[in-house]
Amino acid sequence: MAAEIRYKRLPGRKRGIFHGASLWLGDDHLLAVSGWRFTEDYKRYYYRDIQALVVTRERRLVMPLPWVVAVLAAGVTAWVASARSVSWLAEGCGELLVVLALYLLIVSLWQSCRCRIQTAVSREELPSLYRVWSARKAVAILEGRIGEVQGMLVEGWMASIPQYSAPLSAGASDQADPRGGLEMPPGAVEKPVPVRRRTSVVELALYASLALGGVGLLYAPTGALWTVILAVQVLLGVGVLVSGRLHGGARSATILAVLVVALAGAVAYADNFISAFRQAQANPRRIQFTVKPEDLGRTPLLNQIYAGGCVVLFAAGGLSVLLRRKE
Amino acid sequence: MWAWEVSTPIHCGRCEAELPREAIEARDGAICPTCNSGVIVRVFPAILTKPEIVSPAAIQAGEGEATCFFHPGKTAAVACSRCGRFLCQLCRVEFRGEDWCPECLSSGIKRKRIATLENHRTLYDSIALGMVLLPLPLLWWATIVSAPAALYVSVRYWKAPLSIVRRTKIRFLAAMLLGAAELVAWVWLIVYLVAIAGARK
Repeated sequence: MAAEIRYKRLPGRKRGIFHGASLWLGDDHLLAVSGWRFTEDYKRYYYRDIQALVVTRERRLVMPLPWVVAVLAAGVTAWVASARSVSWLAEGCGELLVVLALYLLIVSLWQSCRCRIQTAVSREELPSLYRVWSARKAVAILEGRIGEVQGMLVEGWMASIPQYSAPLSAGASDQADPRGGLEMPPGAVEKPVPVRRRTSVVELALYASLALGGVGLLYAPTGALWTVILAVQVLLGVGVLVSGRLHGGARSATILAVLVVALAGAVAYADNFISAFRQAQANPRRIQFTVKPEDLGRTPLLNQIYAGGCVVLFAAGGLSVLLRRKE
Repeated sequence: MWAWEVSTPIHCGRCEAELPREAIEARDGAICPTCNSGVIVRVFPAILTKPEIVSPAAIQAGEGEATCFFHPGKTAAVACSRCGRFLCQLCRVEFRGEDWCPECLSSGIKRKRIATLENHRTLYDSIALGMVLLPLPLLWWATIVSAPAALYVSVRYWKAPLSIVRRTKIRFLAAMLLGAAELVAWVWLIVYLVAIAGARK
């Protein structure tokens, strides 16, 4: 048996219920592993042969196994809890299901992609790269590795290629001569290609709504408190997701927001345990651990921490968007 | 003047339209003008390499020339690094910095001597672990058959190659431990049931 090669896994992994795929870096090649539960198929792309990597944003509904497991666990827990009349647990699991559904919807619509690898003789899809954030990371790593083998193209290299020295128009590809089609086919209309700008307005709106949610949390009536807390949690989640995935520059803001949420959770639990301990001291036969809206309403500190997290994320996220626009 | 040439045009992954220069050059991503999808393209120098095309007419053997083992009418260019057969440009396969003939290559793949050309593996460790774990939630009674089967698979294929990318025997070990535990549980249950039946009599 020949000596085996050590591989290092690239970001991005498709873990379906039955089918899976992943990418691994070898010394001189990229190994694409795909397989069913009990078999694996391998494809090798040598770094010296790779001509291009193309990531195309596309709406894709892919349900990864961890998500399915989380939905099943939350669903079963909610079912059991409602059968046993543990309303707070059933409600919590129901909310978790809503959040999971929203997460899948958001990433399927706006954060999904198709990644393709091109060599001189093939153009093949890499199934493990189906989310934009993992595709970006994997492409960055691959770019470095391929660059070590092939070197890098100098800036403006396309100007020396007759095929690309004049911009091609949309839809002209089928008719244009691929080896030097400088002439535009009849009827083809040349139009400028817009360079993609990230949706700063949407991001700013998100951060602004976070700030509003945070302020609203401080003044929300007790009856609507539960709804406001849930809305703020969803907003915080989306804000963290957007900050972390779209621009690494706001990573510190993301970490801060996560810490704030974690702290808020810790305070809530600590508060609950303290009250339960006091109850136990007063009446040892009746110990109650509950998280109810009215309990949360009685913890203004918790609301303030949530609100603070919203405001911090709003400031850091908004600032990073504005700074990027200036660049 | 000789000009560079792109050997293969770059296409959008969604609509298959050829991407224009601006879309290829934009590092931050661009929009495909045909389908309006966002695209990020990274291009490498290999795109400027023309594939080497060998025309059969150019390698026709002349009088008294050494010829290819597989094509007696064609001029031998190199000898196979493994078996020494003469090879023409069509039969020559460059592999690991050597020249191989197609037969040595295919026999190497069949005998699994060339790890870098292996394209399929069966994961016996996952099969063994699946045998002890999968029946548990709904078909727990099937473990009376699947547990010994998992133990057999673990022992029988202990030395079989694992996945190319992860190479620990932890799954085999887990399958053996769980399989043994399930078997012990079955033995205990049977003994218990027999003891109860004996006590009733």
